[in-house]
Parts: sequence; structure tokens; C-alpha cells
Amino acid sequence: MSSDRVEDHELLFRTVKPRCIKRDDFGKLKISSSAFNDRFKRPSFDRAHLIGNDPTKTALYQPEDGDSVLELIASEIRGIAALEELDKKGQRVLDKGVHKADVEPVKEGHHEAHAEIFLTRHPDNGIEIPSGVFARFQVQLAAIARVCVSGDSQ
Amino acid sequence: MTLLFDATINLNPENICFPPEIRRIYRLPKDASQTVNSSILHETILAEIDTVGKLPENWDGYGSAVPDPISVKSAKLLIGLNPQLFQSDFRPEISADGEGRVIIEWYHQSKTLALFVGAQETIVVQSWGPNDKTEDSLLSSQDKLPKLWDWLFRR
Repeated sequence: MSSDRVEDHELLFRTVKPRCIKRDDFGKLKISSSAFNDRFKRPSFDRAHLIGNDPTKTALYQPEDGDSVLELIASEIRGIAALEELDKKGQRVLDKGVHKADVEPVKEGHHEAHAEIFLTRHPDNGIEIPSGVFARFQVQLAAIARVCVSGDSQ
Repeated sequence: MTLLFDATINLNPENICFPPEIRRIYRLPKDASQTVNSSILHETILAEIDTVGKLPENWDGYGSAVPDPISVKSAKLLIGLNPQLFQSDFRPEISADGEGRVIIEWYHQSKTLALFVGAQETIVVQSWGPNDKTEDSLLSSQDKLPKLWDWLFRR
């Protein structure tokens, strides 16, 4: 059974396509920001302990040969510094424009392990996360995520 | 391996025919195609952008949109107008975001420079560690890109 809260120590998995992972000229794996694409600005993960801590059992979509699996710990996501909205001059948008990263369980039918990460919204400004802020969030997630199953080693 | 090519042979005219909205976004003259130093365009990156431009709906399994054709042209334009940034050893990663923008990303030490090239605007994300501070802005003019490149490699 999944609980109502994703605990800070929980490990999370996300399957990604080969285009989202590249080896640089030194053989080091690089994670693209596109690994955290989501049209609704809520990237999906699987909670590891609910799938037996086996990254090959993620059920986010039907995986194909060459896909990789990324891992993150919930506290790493929550530890991302608050993202402030900036105006065209690069100045902070006062009061309303601060977004914190969080993760919550979102069960989908029998997919009990499903969780989504998201940016909190100010109650008075809660309609849309600006594209620039979400782009920064994607870049940061790519910087802290790790590859636990590499598609090119399968 | 050579990374240079002769545009008169390899460059499809479609690649240097920029629509009015792109000229407006990047403040290009009407004959902008003439400003493109095609002879030193990075063939590999252009091919990569073409590949990204052909990605289908939901290419990543998470519902991402088809890359916008104007975003693809804009990304090529950025490369064409700043050829000096695309011929070094620091080859960018090319991909697409969930809303059809083309992503061009460079990594250097603890810094990341990412361009999310859209049909209407290009979002610039600069990230630098160790605590991964970030800023975002809009690329108001293609002239800004060399300054961003300087930032990426400045100590």
C-alpha cells in the first residue's frame, strides 16, 4: 500500500528515452533537461519501494530497448532552492513569484507507485507556472539526477 | 573528421529562408540569409536538429508535443548566426521540451547553459553550482549569445 506522503528518504525512478541521455567525448553520461519534460509541468516518477526497488519494473510507460532509468531521492527534489520568477530585467517578481519543489503520490488506477514532482504555486497566482521557471526546474533536475540503468549498457 | 561543409552543396534552401516572425524575434534584416556564414556551420548539429524536428507526438512517453517547425528553423538560425559557438569541442546536446521547443544545452564544469528555442521566444537558462543557482531570461537578440558563451567559460 502506498502512503499519502512521499517520505524524504524515498528513492524515485523515472524511465527516459535514449535522446535524453548522452555520453560525452569522455564517456561520461549527461542527462538532458528533456528527461523531465511534462506538458502539465508535473513530471512522473515511480516510488522505488512500491516496485521492489527494481528500476526495471517502472510502469510509467511501456519501455523499449535502449531506454534508461534515472533515480532521485525525494529530499533532493525538496532541497532544490526556491525558484523565483524574474521579470524581463532579471529582477525578482515580488511576493507571488516563488515556487518550491515537492513530490506527492498520484495513484493512477492500479499504478500505485506513481508519484509526480511539481512546483508549488502562490494561492493568488496559482494558474500557471511560467515556462522560464519550469525550464530552470528541468535543468536543475537534470543536474542532480543519476542514471541507475543505462540504456546503452543493456 | 571534418566538421565543416560547403553550404552551397549541403545546405537545403529551407534552412536559410527565415520566416518574418523569426526575423522579427531576432531583429534580422530582410536579407538575413546573407548574414549567415554557412561555410562553417556545424553539420552534425544541424543534422541533429533536423532529427529532433522529426520527433513524433509523445516521443518521450510523457506526452511531449511535436517540435514546432518554427522552433526548428529558429534553432538553425541561432547556429547559422553564431557559427563560432558551434565548432568547438564543446558540442551541445540537442533535444526538445514538452511544448515543442528545441533545447540546445552546453555543460562546462559546474555550469549549464540551456536555450529553449520556441516559435515566439527563446528562453535562456543559466545554472551554476555548487547549489545549482539558476536564472532564466529571454534571448532578446542573437547578439546576446556570445556573451552567454563567455559566461559559460569564464572562471
